[in-house]
Amino acid sequence: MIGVKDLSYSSILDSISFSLDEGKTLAVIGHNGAGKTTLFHVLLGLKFATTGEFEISETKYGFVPERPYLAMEESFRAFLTVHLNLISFPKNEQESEIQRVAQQVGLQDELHKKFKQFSKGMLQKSLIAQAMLGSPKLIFLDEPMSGLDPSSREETKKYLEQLKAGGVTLIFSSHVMEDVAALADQVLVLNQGKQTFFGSIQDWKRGGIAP
Amino acid sequence: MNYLSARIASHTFKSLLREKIIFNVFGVTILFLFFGYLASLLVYGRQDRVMMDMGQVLNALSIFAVALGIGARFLRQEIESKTIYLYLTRPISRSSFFLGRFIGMSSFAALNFVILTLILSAAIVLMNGNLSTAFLQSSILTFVEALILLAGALLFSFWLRPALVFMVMLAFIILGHNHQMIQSLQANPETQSPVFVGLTALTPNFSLFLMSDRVYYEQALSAHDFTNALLYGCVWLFFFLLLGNAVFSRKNL
Repeated sequence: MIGVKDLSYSSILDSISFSLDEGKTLAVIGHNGAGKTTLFHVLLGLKFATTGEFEISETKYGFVPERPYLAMEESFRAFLTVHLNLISFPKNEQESEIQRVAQQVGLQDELHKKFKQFSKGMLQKSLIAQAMLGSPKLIFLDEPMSGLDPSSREETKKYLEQLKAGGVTLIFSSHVMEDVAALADQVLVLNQGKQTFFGSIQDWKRGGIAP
Repeated sequence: MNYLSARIASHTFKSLLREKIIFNVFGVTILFLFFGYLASLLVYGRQDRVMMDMGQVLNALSIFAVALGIGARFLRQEIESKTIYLYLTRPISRSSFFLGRFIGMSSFAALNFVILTLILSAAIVLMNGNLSTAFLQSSILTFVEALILLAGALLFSFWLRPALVFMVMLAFIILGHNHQMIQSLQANPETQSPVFVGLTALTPNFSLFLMSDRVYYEQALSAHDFTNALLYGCVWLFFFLLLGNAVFSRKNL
């Protein structure tokens, strides 16, 4: 599903290579400034790689950014509608899709509200709901659990487990080793922009390779 | 324009409708139009022409302010606040996104302009004035000028802060409306300078769009001259849009 070869970006990422099969979950781990977010941005086309190449077989994918980059004056429903339009989702099925994703993250009664009325946990759930629109086969999640309170963290973890069980390929970054161990099939460790490990979760656990 | 550009355009238009600052410009202009009406009452004779003259200037200033205000801020703000990320990770090309944003902003500026022109037209008719062909031509050319300013502001907003974009575009307006004066300076051997050549080459000749005298005397442009002015405006518009799109398409966000 994803193949990355010798990918570099400015002085932030240096020769990153990995591959990920369909339905698998990859955890990208590393300290702050290791290049996790930049790697996501390059793969998502927000930044252009300086050298190297990558291929993603899916054209429709979801993305959950590290912070709630949302227009706070917009309502949750309007936000989801714009994204459904952008994935060319049939008009007559949009309402049921909005209800489906909102229900999945427990925000079905908040659709009319503007984001400025949402708590941090609700904003994070909105982003996850947005990423689930149209049931994509691949979702990128940049630090999906950072800054959340324990109950929101558990809920987010639950959504990710559900997605994983549904065969969705996930790429997420995290600082928390316990989340990585619970969700990931494969691990990519970055340190100051360099790849220090890529392999299965079992190998990573055996090797005890810290970010 | 493809389907996705149309969706982005519609989203842009709706987002701009939420921006209260634009409505403030709108309100102030209507207030000025009212003052124009009051001023025309003080004039003996063709009061409608005074109203038309003042009204058109105010209308043009309003639409330029709106075009520069949204062009200098909207996309830049999206990039700075990173709200653009989620849109661009959808299967939409940057060119389609850029085009959609521009069309949405243009539509909003058009709505603003049409409403103000209708109010001005109603005021002129109520004062027993005549809505001449020259008035219509002038309105269209003013709007084309506003679109050029919008596209220019959008382009410069990738490098400059809104206040600086505003200043650069103000320079464009001043130089553009004084092309003939610059050309006459260049024609004079005593004042000739390569700077004048550069200034006329790098700024649109907005004096082609200036029709206030013609409107006042109801002298419409010939179809040929009007078409030429429109085509000239479109060339500058596409130049700014193509350049803006090229910069945006290669920008690391």
